[in-house]
Amino acid sequence: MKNILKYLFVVSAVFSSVSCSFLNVEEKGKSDTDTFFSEIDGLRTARVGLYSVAYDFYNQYFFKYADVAGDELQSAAVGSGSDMYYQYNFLSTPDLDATAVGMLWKKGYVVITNANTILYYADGLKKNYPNDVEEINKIKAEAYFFRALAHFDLVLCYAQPYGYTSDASHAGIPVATRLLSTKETIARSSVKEVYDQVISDLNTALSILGDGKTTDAHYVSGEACDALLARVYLYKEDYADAVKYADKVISEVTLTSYSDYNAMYTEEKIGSEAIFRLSGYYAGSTLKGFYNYQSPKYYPTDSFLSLFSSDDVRKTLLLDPDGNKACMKYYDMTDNSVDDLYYDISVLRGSEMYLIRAEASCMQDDLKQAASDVRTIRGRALNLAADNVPLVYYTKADLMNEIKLEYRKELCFEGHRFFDLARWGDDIVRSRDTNSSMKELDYPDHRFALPIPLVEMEANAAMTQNEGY
Amino acid sequence: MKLIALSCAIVSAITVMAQGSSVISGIVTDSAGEPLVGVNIVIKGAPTGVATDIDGKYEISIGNRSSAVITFSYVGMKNMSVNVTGETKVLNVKMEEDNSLDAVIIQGYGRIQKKDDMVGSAYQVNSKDFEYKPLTRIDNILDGMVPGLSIEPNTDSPTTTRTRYNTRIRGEASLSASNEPLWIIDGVPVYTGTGTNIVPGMSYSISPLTFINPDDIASFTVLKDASGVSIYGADGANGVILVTTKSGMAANSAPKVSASFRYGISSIDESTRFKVLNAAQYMAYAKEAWVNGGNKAAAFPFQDNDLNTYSTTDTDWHDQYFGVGNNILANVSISSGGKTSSSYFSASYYKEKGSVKGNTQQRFSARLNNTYKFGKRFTFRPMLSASYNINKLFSPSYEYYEALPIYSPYDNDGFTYRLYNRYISSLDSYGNPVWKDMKFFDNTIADRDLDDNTQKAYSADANFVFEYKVINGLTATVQFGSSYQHSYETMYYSRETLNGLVDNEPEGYSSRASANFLSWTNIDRLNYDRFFGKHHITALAGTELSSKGYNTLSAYGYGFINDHIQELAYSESDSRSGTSSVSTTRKLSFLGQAAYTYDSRYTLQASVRREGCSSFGKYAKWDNYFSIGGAWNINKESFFSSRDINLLKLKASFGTSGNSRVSSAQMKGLGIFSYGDSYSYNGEIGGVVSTPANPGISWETTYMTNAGVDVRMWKRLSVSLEGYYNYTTNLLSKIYTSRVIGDQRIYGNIGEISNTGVELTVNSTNIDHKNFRWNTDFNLSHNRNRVEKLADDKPISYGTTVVAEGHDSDSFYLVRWAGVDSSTGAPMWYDKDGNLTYNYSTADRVIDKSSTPTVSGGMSNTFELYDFALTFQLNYSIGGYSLCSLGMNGIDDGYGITDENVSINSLDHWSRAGDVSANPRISTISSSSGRASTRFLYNKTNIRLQNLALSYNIPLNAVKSAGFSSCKISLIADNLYLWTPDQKHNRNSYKTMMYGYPVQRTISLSLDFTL
Repeated sequence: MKNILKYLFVVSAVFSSVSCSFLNVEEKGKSDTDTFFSEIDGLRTARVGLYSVAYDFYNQYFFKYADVAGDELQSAAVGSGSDMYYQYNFLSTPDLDATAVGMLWKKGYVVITNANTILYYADGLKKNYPNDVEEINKIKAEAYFFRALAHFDLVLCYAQPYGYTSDASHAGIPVATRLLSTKETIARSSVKEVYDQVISDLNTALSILGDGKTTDAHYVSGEACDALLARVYLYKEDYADAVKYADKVISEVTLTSYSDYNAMYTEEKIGSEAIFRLSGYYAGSTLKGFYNYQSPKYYPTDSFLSLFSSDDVRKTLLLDPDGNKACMKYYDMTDNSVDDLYYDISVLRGSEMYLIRAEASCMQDDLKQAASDVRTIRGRALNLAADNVPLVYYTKADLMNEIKLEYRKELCFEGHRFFDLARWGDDIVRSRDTNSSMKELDYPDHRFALPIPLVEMEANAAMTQNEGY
Repeated sequence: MKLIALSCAIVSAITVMAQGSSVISGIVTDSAGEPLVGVNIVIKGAPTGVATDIDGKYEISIGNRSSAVITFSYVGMKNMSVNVTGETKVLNVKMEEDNSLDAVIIQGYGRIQKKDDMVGSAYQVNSKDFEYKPLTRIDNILDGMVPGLSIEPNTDSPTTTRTRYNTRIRGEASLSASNEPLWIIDGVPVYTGTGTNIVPGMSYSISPLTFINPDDIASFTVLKDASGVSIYGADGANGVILVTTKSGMAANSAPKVSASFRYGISSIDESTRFKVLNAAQYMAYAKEAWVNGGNKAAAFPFQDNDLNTYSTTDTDWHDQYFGVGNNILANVSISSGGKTSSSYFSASYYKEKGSVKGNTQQRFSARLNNTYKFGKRFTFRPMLSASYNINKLFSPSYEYYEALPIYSPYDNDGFTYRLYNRYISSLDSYGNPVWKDMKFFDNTIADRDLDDNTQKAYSADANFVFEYKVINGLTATVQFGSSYQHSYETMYYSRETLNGLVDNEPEGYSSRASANFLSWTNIDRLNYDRFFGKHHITALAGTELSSKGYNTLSAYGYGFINDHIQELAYSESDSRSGTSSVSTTRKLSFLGQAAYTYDSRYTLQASVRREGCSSFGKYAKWDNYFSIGGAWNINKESFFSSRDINLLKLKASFGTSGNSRVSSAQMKGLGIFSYGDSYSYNGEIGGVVSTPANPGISWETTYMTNAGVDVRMWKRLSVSLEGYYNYTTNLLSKIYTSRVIGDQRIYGNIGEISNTGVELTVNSTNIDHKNFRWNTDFNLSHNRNRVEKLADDKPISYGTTVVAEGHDSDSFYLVRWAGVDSSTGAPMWYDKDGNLTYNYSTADRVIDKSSTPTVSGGMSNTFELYDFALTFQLNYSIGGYSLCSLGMNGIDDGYGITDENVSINSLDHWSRAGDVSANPRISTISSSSGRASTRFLYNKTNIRLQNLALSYNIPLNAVKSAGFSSCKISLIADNLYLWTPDQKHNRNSYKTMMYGYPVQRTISLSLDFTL
């Protein structure tokens, strides 16, 4: 009996000691994530992939949503089959998974998942690649930036604006700061918590990337972190910080000149004011098809066009070569072969920084600074020296209206309008001849936030739906 | 409790030995000299008893008695009592058969159980049960013989002449993992391909089960319930098939040489042929469809020209592809038994030329199973086998009936393979025909004759078993077994065939593929088996380490100067490309089992296995399985007295088992990263998460409950009725997760599925007369499969089938056919709500009917009259439906008529108002009538006369003078007849569409000698 027990004991002891290693099979030829990140080239490739999914998010739905839900576009087609129909008409419901309702959610979190995957694996590579630690850290910084950007964009889409409750305690979106598993509870954080996380990620990225002028605007830089922080603080109504970061960026960036202005879009010259733009090289633009002047799905409304004076360089980007209404910001007018066409998406550029500083200063009653910034932007567009720029205001409210007007003119169709309106708490008032079924949407309204997609609601027990849906 | 019993047993054994008592040993054999395993040997009046081992050997101590009576008892044999004295040292016993019922069941891991003590469901098929069966592959042998086991081709479409088979034991328990049983040969798992029997790396999968010589097999044991399969852990849920090969003879037997030769001729069973239109019928049909389609009669494509004389051609393509095949078997085996060693050696050659022209299978195989005894305690059993297999393949696809009868296979010269046909493609503006030469892809005869498609497979198994008898009843065994297969595939498309064209230039295309499979297993176990008077205790404890893996390598290229070269070294260098793959799975298990039988009346059994598997997520690498079971032989009770009933047994078992055979990394819970152009940014190629990791994913678990009653009456009729309920949980199924985790559906343990069924087995000796015996074996099984739960409660549609809660997992999802409108000839369907509609829409699909038969089984009969014996086997299947691919491809109501010939049933079509016909108006314009609907659903009910053999034992005195000890001549027929209720003489029915190819009937003559 003892012998048997001894035998059994020895056998099981031997096997339990070998068992761990025996069952660990190195699976070659598999594209599983662990294997992929076992070498630094995997991380490098994942970095490229992260940019590509971010481009996809912006290209497919984010920019379109911000502008069809605004008050500056008219649909060329009426019917439920047309692109962004449900958002243009404010008919979004949770079950519309194949529209922006489901896709913004899905593609936004794809950016976050890819960023988190990079962050999960990056540090582990440092041991084997001591000479590449700097590069690994830089890739991490980019991942933090994209994680912040995607969270920020998603909270704009799926939650009411920051000022909706006094302490921003209303529901935001789930914050994912690491890879999550199916067994975890994934609930919505408050809008404030989301903003705090976004700011924290941007500061982390900034601490790695350091200050400094963007060298290649197609990639994330310290300057891009500053610029995004300026925007986030503005939305957060933390005007002092908004001014602080806008100042920092403005000190580094030179506005693109009047003469080079259109080339930023139609010839894809990056422009001196570029801070961060997602490269559309070989990427295939859906925005191009969306605004394509030969058969646009949406085009600028008459009332919007009427805001521009005829000598405003920006108006030329809203008329096609035949003088018809069309957004030309996503159309390469050069003779490049199809393969070489660029369809960049401008995420952050210098002009916005002036407008952020103008708005934040105005809100802090620094009207002088605010007026000066409006003059800078307006002057560049009209090719006038700042002193000669017409700008008449008597009150803070007057000036604020001028700032809002300049926002519209400068950043139209670049993914801002709907979120600006929500931030300001302004009603959406469309021109009388709009073919949308929604002529006016007064703030506040549940439709300032998209519904949480049904697929998410069904798959995630902890998820709560936005009010009104 | 068990531990105490175990220690008592050991102590008493030691005590007996300490007294220096006299020990009697010997071998117990049956009347034919074959060793009997598990014979119960008791000394009258003594508390203990022993049982014979696998070689029929035993050792028993009579203590210090001067004389004793030893009783030998064994199910199926007459009890024997022998008087011995203290002087007796060796006592060999030959037991007489009581009846022919097989008495023991091999249970794996060295356990052999008396059938009457069995608590679970296991069915054993012994070599004499399949001696006349076809020899192509060993799995098909079991078709119809085992209740609850079904073997069916995995497709009914003609895609390969080496069709993969689905072997199912008690239904399908998984959606995403394998449903195939585990095959184990002499303790070592056999690699049978992937979860669906695909052989990785090869273009055509040839089952490794064709590499084994069926004549080497002593028995198949099919384990079906928890008491049998739980101990196989993570691979047991689909049942286990234990194959035991033959071993040498009992000690001191004269060597026996057996030889058999078989020659057979095979041809197509014409009644199962898929019938199509002949040239005249075709022309009339095509013209009607052409004109109905609004085409000009002058533009009818098939008008005689220099290349094609349509008016006089009438090719029966069937005859081009099918012919007469044959098969040859030569088999020699030598078995012997010496004092300390025994040996079984066999060598075999088998060649089959298929009735589908262009197919041959050859198998050269050899096996050597030896046993060596060293002293009284050590036994060493090396088992070595090897086979070399050459398969030449040619798989005609649908073209064997789709090729138009108005095309001839050869050009007008009568021998050049026809590659082009000329017909009118349109009319020009003056109304003159525009002729066009079109490639004749349906003519694959050139491919068959000129191309190469050969697979050579070498398979070698080495299996070593060391046994050490620790003390009486306790044996320690170390087994190391490995199984190696190497396949090499050469394919070449000739420059003279359409396949060999690259950019319309004759280039020749060659591919070479190689795959190596190696699996090995190490089992270390202790087996205990002893009688203490009326108490019988068996126990098992062990560990098992195993690994299976493969690597593949293949290369392709084209551009050859002529067809004789074929090797890639001579192809155009920039045409070459290649690929490779590798996979390894490892497992480690601890297992144990114990059984206790009291007085052959009550048996209790329990087993446990803990298993770790490399292929699962890190949180679920290990899982535990267990089973318990009990049996009660009521007939042994004192209150029970019946002269008629020899056995009345109730049994039940419950336990768990698993299914680790999943294929993709996703199912293993690993995250998948995708890399490629579509994720590029700014000119660089990128990679993104395509599936998030799900490390919590775990194994499917099947809870198996089995209960049954066994009755044996008048020593000649056995009836066994079993019911089972298998419930599979943690079914791997694709689910949506929160998109915060990932944007794709990922595998999760969500679904649940149940299989409920009954099985009836009857073995009867109907007539048992000195010169005439008639035996019948009959089995019937019914299985109900039901999807109990799915992710998100959402049905998963696979086009024409669906997996939906509350339905069979093989349910059809089809638009319901409503027939033909007799006034217009238009096809009609029912919409979702049951209203007639003229528009086909997949939105109108409903879940109805499944492919699972209601009942299926088989019956075999054996008649023995003097020296003649006649056996036949009928297999049947009742209920269940099939969406026949030949049916769907064969009728499209004129739409594709200029490209493909159609089923002869097409003649019954609507032509004028008032016609009541099965098929709608024909036209070259599609009416959607050929799209998937219940129109093509056929009842699968059929009865097959699978096997019939008539044999004659040449009387002993006649053969003895010639030096033989026996000689037998047999006439064997396979697939003699197939019956379906809807069969018609001149129309197609399920009978002609059951398989992708017509049924091959084989008639063979076999000659068996022993020396």
